[in-house]
Amino acid sequence: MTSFAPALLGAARSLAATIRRHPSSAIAAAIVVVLILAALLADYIAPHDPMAISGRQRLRPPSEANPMGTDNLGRDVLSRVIHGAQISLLVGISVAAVSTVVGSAIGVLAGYSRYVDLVVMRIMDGLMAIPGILLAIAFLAMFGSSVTSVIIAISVPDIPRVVRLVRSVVLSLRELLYVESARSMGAGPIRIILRHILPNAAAPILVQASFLCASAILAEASLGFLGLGTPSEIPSWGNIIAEGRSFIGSAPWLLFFPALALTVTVLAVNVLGDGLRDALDPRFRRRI
Amino acid sequence: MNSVVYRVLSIVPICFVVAVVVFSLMQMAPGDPAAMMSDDFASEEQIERVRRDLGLDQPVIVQFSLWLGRVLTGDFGSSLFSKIPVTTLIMQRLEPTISLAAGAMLVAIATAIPLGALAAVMSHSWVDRLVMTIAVLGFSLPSFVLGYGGVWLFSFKLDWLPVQGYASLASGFEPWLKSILLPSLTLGLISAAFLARVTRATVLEVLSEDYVRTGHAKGLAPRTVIVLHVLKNAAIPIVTVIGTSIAGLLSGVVIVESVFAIPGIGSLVIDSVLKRDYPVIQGVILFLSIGYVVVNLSIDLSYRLFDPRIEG
Repeated sequence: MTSFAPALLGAARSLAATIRRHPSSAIAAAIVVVLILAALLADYIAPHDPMAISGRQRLRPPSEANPMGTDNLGRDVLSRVIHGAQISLLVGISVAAVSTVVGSAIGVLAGYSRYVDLVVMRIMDGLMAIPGILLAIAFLAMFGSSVTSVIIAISVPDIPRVVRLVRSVVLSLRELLYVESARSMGAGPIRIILRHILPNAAAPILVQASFLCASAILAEASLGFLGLGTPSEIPSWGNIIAEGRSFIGSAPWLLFFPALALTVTVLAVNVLGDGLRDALDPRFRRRI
Repeated sequence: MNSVVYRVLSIVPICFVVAVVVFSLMQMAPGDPAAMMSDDFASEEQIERVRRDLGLDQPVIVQFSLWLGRVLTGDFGSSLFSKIPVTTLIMQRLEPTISLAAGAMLVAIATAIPLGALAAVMSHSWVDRLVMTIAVLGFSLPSFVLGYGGVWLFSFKLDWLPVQGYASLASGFEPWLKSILLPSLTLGLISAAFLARVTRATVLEVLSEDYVRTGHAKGLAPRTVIVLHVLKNAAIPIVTVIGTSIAGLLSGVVIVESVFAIPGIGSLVIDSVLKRDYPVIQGVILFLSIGYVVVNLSIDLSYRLFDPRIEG
């Protein structure tokens, strides 16, 4: 444990320095924090019930009572957008976690065993040849759409990307002197992987996870937009945009606000990922 | 020559894995495939006959080899509903999809390579920062958001372009171009974001090479060094990324076709998913994935024509 503390402190220091040098990362981090709070507190801060239908309030433009207007069923768009943050963040974080954990496990095995590598990498090449959204769509067609199947459907095409990254990191780390010395001191492969390789591979894996989170939020919204994502009664940003698409001429706010929320979120997570890379990846730090 | 054979053969396991994945997805589909492929009013015996004819009563391994054999001869099965062969359905929808994909690729290359190279040459200047900011914005912007933004501006407000739909080349060049312009710009600009980042990184790397310094030292004009030495050497990694980014482009095609109501392969797959028309879903995924693998193989092989160093 003690060996982690200075490393953690160092990382925190360089993160703070990066924020000073890159104010965009700080703004992005602030946006992400606000979004997480909005998602957690959606029930308390949303001005209206996101599901409440009102025949008299249909397609109202933005006003004081409904800052983002109302949709074709008279539901408050602002409340729906706030609740939509829950699904987006849930899917984004879950996909990043699932694909990173599964992909890292496979990647470490592939990097460590030549036989596993030979088979696994061919499978990964094959998976990567299938356009991601098509694989996700096919998966959803087979298993029906629920939040869980959306998370799995988006994770599966992402796993090969993590496997490739982790495998290449493991291949370069296992030749290093400190791994060699651990091995010569009689450390077994599991100990070497857990104590020496994974902690040193953590930075690139974490950076990749943040980019996967951004692309998963985008993919969830795309699937919702196509009518294949989370069930349509759940107010996700993709679903709100899908419902609003036929009103683009008469009620553009139905598309504008959820689209803005979606773009700002993905942008913030991507910028945060860039900042994280600058802070954690020494190879990159030198270039700046 | 051996390496060419080796490279061509290397796509065999990839295609095999794609086939296994697509076949397994079909196996996991709920419902009895024989009943789905029979008429609505088919008797038990008729369903049984379909099952026997298609080999669905055989073990999975046998079923897979029978299916693979049919696929290899170009038989992707038929739609459960229209009974039209999947290959015919794909061929009918090929023109709009190729128009969109080619148009988008053109837009992406024409914007990303000059801007990425400019950002690298002027690295750490405001031009570099501006281009890279636009690039990050580009791959954070969902294609359907950019698409609808374009529709709202150019079709509703300015009335310059048709709102949706596709005019085939047979109906004349101008209507075709007008129908494909906004979709191609949408998909192209989104794809350009990633390409611009890669171009910048590659050009930056080449700029630090010795032969670039030599070029400058012997008094060549900066433009000559950039065009003849830098871009020429940066070309191969950039072309490789263009090849691999086709997978993302094909994913984008599905969404952009839906935004602009273009009757291409993407719309075909969405329609079939909504109807659970499994043979069509299977056929389209197989077709697009193998198409992607073959395009990348051709790109890889074409390097041999451009770069004499690549041989063995």
